[in-house]
Formats: sequence, structure tokens, C-alpha cells
Amino acid sequence: MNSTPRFAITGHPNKGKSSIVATLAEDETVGISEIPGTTRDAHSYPMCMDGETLYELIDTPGFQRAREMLEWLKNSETSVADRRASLNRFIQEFANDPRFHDECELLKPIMKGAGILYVVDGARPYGSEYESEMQILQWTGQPRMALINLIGGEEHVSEWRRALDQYFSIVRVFDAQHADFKKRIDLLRAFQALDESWFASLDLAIGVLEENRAQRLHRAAREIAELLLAVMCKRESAQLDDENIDLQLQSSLVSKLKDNIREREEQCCDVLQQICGHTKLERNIERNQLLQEDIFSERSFSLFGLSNTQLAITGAASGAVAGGGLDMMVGGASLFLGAGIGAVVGGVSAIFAARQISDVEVLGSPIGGYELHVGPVSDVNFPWVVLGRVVLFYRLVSERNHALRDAIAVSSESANSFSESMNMKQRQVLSDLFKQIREHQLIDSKGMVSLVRQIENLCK
Amino acid sequence: MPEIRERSGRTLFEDTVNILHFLEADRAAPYAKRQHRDRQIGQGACENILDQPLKTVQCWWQQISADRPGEHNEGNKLIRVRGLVGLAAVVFGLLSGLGVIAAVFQYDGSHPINVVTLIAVFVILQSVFIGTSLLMLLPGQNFLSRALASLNVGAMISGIMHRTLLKSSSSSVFFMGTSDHTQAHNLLLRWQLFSWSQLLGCAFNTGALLGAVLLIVFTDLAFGWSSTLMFETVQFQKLIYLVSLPWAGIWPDASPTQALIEQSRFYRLGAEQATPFIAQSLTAWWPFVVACILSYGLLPRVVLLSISRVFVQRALATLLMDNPQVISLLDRMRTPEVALGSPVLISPEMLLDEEPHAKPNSISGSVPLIIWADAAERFQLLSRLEKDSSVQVSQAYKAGGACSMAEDMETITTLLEKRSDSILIAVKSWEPPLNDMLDFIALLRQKCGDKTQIILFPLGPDLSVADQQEVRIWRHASKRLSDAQLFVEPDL
Ligand SMILES: Nc1nc2c(ncn2[C@@H]2O[C@H](COP(=O)(O)OP(=O)(O)O)[C@@H](O)[C@H]2O)c(=O)[nH]1
Ligand SMILES: [Mg+2]
Repeated sequence: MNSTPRFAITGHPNKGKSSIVATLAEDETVGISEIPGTTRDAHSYPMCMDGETLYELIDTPGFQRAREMLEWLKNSETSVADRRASLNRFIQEFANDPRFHDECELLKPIMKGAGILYVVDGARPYGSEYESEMQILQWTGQPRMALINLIGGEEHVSEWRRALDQYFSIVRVFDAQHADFKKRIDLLRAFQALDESWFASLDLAIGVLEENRAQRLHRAAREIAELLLAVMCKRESAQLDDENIDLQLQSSLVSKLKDNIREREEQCCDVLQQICGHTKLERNIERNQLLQEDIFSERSFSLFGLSNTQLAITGAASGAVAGGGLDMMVGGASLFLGAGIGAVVGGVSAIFAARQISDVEVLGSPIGGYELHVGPVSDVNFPWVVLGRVVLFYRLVSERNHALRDAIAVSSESANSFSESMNMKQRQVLSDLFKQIREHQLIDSKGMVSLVRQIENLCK
Repeated sequence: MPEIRERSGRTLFEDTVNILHFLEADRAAPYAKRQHRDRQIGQGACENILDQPLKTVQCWWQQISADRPGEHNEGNKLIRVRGLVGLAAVVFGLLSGLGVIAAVFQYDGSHPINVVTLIAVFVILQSVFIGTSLLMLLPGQNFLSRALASLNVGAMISGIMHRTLLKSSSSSVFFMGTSDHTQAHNLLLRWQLFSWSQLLGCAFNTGALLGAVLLIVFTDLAFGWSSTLMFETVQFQKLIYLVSLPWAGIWPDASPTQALIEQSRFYRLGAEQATPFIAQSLTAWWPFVVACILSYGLLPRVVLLSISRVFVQRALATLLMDNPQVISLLDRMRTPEVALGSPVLISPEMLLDEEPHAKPNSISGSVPLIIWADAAERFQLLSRLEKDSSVQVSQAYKAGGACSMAEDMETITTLLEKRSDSILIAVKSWEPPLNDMLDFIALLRQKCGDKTQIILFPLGPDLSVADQQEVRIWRHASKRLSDAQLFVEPDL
């Protein structure tokens, strides 16, 4: 049990201890607050693989009465070798004293063997009031590292370094709110240097995290591919009394179709968010920012769809009308089930005519009645719009730092740059796949593999 | 490790339907929960077969369905539907077989049953039917397969089922193929249709064979041959020879002899009655007839039926294993579950907007100034106060930070020797108000009595004006002391 590396994040209140824990533990529920002293109790954030803890981060309250505590310790100390004992005496003595609640909470895990991560803010100057804290931590004799967080600047980093070097074996700069995955892994590597006995566990943890990262991308790409396939093939149908199109029925089917597609997109984003570990976030906080634009809106189409030129280059535009609005996306067809060829009886919009008879209509029988079909959405830009929105969402959410609490702001530039970020070849391959789906209402396994791979590249 | 039940075709079908159905609904479940559940199963019951995807998935399903018995009968329902369609095909086939035989074997004693008709029906037509159903299997959506599909009786039956029994149920969705857009699904449908057609074919031929045998045994039949086309006997002999080639070696009696063929020719016009002798020899045709039905009807149908069963199984397996959801499932079962973060949700206290706060009375006379934890350099601070404010500082003291608690105590004592109605404390606005500092204020209050104003003066770095947000935090913290004469004031 003692070989599991444990790290107590300590320091002055309000210097980003909890933010660092949130980032490292990819946990957006860590109590981060601008009000100092928010974290009242030590709280553990284990990293587990199949239930086995590989390391553990402990968010602690900050020091509140370090000066007084150090004086007590100095008075009770008999020799340098006695320091740990005197710390333990302190914990015993004040365990139930509300005055030293925070100090006891933060010391307990350390005295049980946790390593120390001492957090300071490199944007603010060093001050003498930090000295007692650092001394107390030094007294514990535990392996310790200082992290210089950057709450809005780094003017005082070197000043801090000079002070911290006196008390800590490793001093690093770590920007809690902007540390990407690589930086976090680097930090874990630095933890390894703190104590040899933690090396293996942390090594395993790093491997697992890296593996997990790659899988996350793959999983997300698969979800997106599935979404595309589903929405591109989605249809609605209802029975008709005769061969004439019931316009009211048609428009209700159209809105049902659109609702279904929106819902499916929503669901996909849910899963993507969860795959990225933003599980406990209030649903929709970010999505509302990004996806508030309705998927069927003109703006969505102009933001995410390919331009006419782009479409023409990929050859997708031929035969289909590019860049259109709603009226051409849906249409109706009434057909006589089972009659086989020539079953389309009329009133069919041009876009749908070619596709209403698909494979399965062989199951229809001559005694079947009339059915009104709406969908699938056949606009050539439709899959691009869905793809663009969802991929952009994934990119944002996957790099979304767990210490951030505000919503993502999405500019239309980021949407524009999406279609630009693809090269000709990618666009061509995707365009061909979309064409296959559009024309055959299905995809073969090879196509699926290729689609997933393309999306993976876009998500990176 | 529980043994894996031997899975028959029936259960693969049932499993496939159930699994896909379950996974579709499972999409809405939280990802972490799914990951946990599937990894648990992957590490538990199915651990030793993780390298065999199909088995793994089936094993997983066993575990899942064991937890909720009786809940997932979608597959069962579909099996029944499939069985019903099959049964309908069998009944229809048997009846039509019997009917066709009854029609073809109509013998009123005036004319023998025409072998040419029999060949046309049981050899040529059958072969054409078998040929067309083979054509149906050609890949692609060609005109031919479409046209043929609409003739397909199996398809018609299931179409009828769709329109009548299963309206809008999810089972029809499965068979009509609108739920899944993988090629595998298409393939499965095709093979299922093919299989039904073969079942119907088998039933038809069984009916025909049964009818033929019954009629031969219990009634008096005579066979002969006659053709409006001017068939020469020799040509007819050749035809019979060709037709009976498949069984010539095994069943010689079923190959009509030259004599029999010559004897049994008859002409509808110029009706000369067959003599009883001839009539008797004419019954000798029956083995040929039976052999025709067997080898051109029943046997190929049985072979095709068994092939189709195999292909249905394979298509089912592909449908299951190609499904993206199933691929994700396998992925979840095989890869370690990585959990970061805490399962407990904490909601921190957030800072309110500007809280109401009181202003200190204007400071009269000179006041003592305490510089807390080196909030500023003494002389710089004093000259700034002199320049920018009306406050007159009588004496500046140091407390907090590097000072000891005893030194702080001493500072309080000396400072209170001179009376003053206010005390100023300069603090670093960017540092949080710690209890260490609040203790000091409480002590100071205790010593100086209730009347004296204690004014916290937050300073930004390098004597700059304190940030508004930081001031708010200081005001918030100072409330903890519930001291009416304690103020936080960034501008003096
Ligand atoms: N800009 C910026 N703000 C930060 C950073 N780290 C923490 N903060 C903010 O600093 C405040 C205190 O953070 P918190 O993690 O609760 O500190 P703790 O009291 O040490 O646990 C919060 O308002 C955070 O949003 C950072 O790297 N950059
Ligand atoms: Mg905290």
C-alpha cells in the first residue's frame, strides 16, 4: 500500500492547488474557487487502472496559521532528529482543534508518506510569510517538489526559484489552466525523480495514460462515424391512404426527421464529452456555446459546409445541387411497396426519386399499401456540416482543461478554419465515402474503417 | 470461468438481434458506466476468450442478460417471426406441391399422363427457378436481381407478414432493413430471403414427391409421351437419356428403356386406345418421374437450403462483428479502465458579486500604520500616503510575515500606548487573508477596545491600487470576524 505514490498538493491558499489537481486528475468537479480557504478537507483523487490505484493526488487546504504552528513545533523540538516526531505530536495535539484544522488535514497524508507538491504563484512576488510553510514542509522530511503556477503572468518566477531552491529538490513551472496532456505527462515524469520506489508505478501510469489518450481519439472517431452514417440514412415514413401526398403529414415527418437528427447529434456530443472525461460537467454548458446554432440553419451550412468550389473539386456537386437550403433537403415520395421497379408513384422531388427504392423494398408485397417516405437528407453539404460541428466540438472538449470553469467561446473563424484544415486528399476521400453512403444508404466495413481513420486525422 | 453454452444458429440469431438492440439503447447510458461494466465482464467471466471476438461478445451478452432475465426478448420475438415466415413457406410449399402434382397427374383413363409436361414442370421450370434464385445472389443491385426479387415468393410472404402481423414493430424494422446501414445487414437480409425461398422450394418438392408417391400407390396411373412439336422418338430418347443422366448409375430402373419410350408414345388425335398390356408397361415410367422430382427439385433445394443456412450464420456473425457499437464494446472489454479524478462531487463556494460594505469614518489626526508581512517598503508607502491621501501616519510598525508571534504582540502593546481613533493595516491585496492575519486583528481589537476603527488597506504589487476582485475577497474574509469597526479600504 505504501508503494503507491501519493502526492499531497499543499501551499498557500488560493494559489491554484485545486486547479492543479483538477488538471492532473482531469476532474472538473474539484472545488476551485477564488475565495481562499475553499478547500477545507483533504480530498483524494486516485488514478486507477482496472480498480488498481497507480497513484493518488490529494488536494489539501492551504496553510492558515503556519507561523504559529512553526513556533509550537520549535518549542516542542528537542533535536533535529526529533522533527518528525514533533510534527506527529502536533497532529495529535490539535487534531480536534478547529484552529489548526487545515494544518492537520494537510499534514496527515504527508506524515503517512505522501510526497509534497508545493504550489506557489509565479505571477506574484515572493514574500516572507511563505517561509514558515516551507520550513514546516521541510521538517516532514518527505520528498518534495515545488510547482510555480502562473496565475496571469510569470514576472516573479526567477525570484521564486531562488527561494524555493532552498527547500525543494525540484522546482518546476506548471501552468494549471493551460497545461496540455504532454505537460502533464512531463510532470508525472518529474514525480518519478522524487522517490525511486515510485518509479515503477508512475511508469505504468504514464504508459496507461498515453495509451488511453490514443484510444480516446479512436473511440471518438468511431462515434462520429456512426453519427454520420445514422443521420445520413435517417428516414421517416408513415402510411398513406392513397397515392396522393398529404402535405401536412409530410411536413410533420420533415420536422420529426430533423428532430431525430438533432437529438442524435446531441447524443453523440454527450458521448464525446464523456470520452474526454468531462463527465460531471453540467450538460450542455459548452455545447450551447458551440452548437447553439441549429444544425439545419443557413449559418451552420455556410460555416461548416464546403464551398461550391470545394464541392466541385471533389466531384460531389455533380448531379446534386450544392449549398442549398432546406427545401431541397427533404422531400416526399409515395411508393407502392413491393411493386419493385417503377414503384415510385409520383410527387417525388427530384432529389429523392433515384433513391427511394433501396435494397429492402424487395420485402414489400403487392398487397402492401402506400407509404410516405421523407429523407434521407440528401444535401451534399449535410454530412460536412455534421462532421464539422462534431469534430470541432471534440477538438475543443478534448483539449479542454479541467481547471477551467467558464464556457468555451467559439469563433466563426474556428469553424471556417475547419474546412480549410483539410487537404485536398482528405476532402476527396471523405467526399467519396459520403457519396457511397448517400447513394447506397450503407457503408461496407472497409469504408467504415476508412471513415473512422479520416475522422481520427481531423480530430487530432 | 463458466462454460460457454454451445451456440446454435438459433441463438446466434437471437443474440445478434438482442445485442444490437441493447447496444442501441445503451448509447444513452453514461460512458464511464458502460466502460466500467464492460471491462468488469472482460476481466471476469470472459477473460480467457478475449482473443475470440465473437465468443467474447456472446459471453458478454450472457452476463448482461443474466442480470436482467426476461427483459430482452426482442430476439426471441424475431425468432418467432422468422419461424412463422418459415412455417408459412413450408405450408404454402407443401400445398402447392400437392396441388401441382394433382393437376399434372390428372388421369381419367382416356389419355396417359404426359411425360413431356412432367419434364417441363419438374425439370425445366424447377431448374429455371433454382437458376433465378441463384441470380438473386449476384452481388450488386442490378435490374435483374430487383425484378427477380419481386417475384420471390419468400419475399412476398415476409412482405405479407410485414403488412399484417408486424406493422410498425421493431422486428419489421429489422427485416425491412431500415435500422442498420451496414452492408452486412443487407447481406443478411439477402441470405435470409434466399433461405426462405429454398425452404419453400424444399416444401414444394416434398409435397410434389409425396403427392406423386401417394397417387402412384393408391391410384392407377399411366404415363406416356406426346408432343405437339414434331419430336422424333429418337430425339425424345436423347432427351430422356440426358435428363436421367444424374441417376443412371445409381438407379437404372429410373432410366426408361428404348422399348418403353417407343411403346408409350401416344397421339391425342387419332386416339387409339392403349391396350391393357401397354398400359401396364406405361406405369413403368414412375421411377423416372420420382427421380426427376428428387434430382431436379428436392435435392438441389436441400443443398441450397443448407448452404443458405451457413451463409445466414456467416452474415449474422458479420452483422454483429462489423457493427461499430460492437467494435466499441470489444474495445471497452479489452482495454484497461482508466479512472482519474474523484467519484465525489464537490461544489465550491463561489464569490458573490459586490457585497454590501460600510465605509470607515474619515480619519482625523495621525494614525499608526502596521505593515503586514512586508506588504510594502516602509518609506515608499509613507511617501505615497503623504502624496496621495490626507492620512497622516504617526508611526509605522511591522507585523506578520517574518516577525514572530511575540514580536506581533509587542507591536500591539507599543502601538496602543498612544491613543488614536483609527489603526491602519497595509496588506498585500493579492495574498489571501489568512487566519494568521485575522488572529492578529482579533487580538488587536481585544486590546484596543470596540471604539477604534481598524482599517485594512490592501495594496497591489509595487504600491499599485489593489485589484477590485481582490478587495472583494478581503471584504468577504473580514466578515468572518464580525467586527463592526473593521473596514477594508483600498483608497484612502
Ligand atoms: N489565470 C489563472 N488562474 C488560475 C490558475 N490557477 C488557479 N487560478 C485561479 O486561482 C483561484 C484559486 O484557485 P484554486 O485552485 O481554488 O486554489 P487553491 O485555493 O490553492 O486550491 C481560482 O479562481 C482559479 O481560477 C492559472 O493557472 N491561471
Ligand atoms: Mg483548493
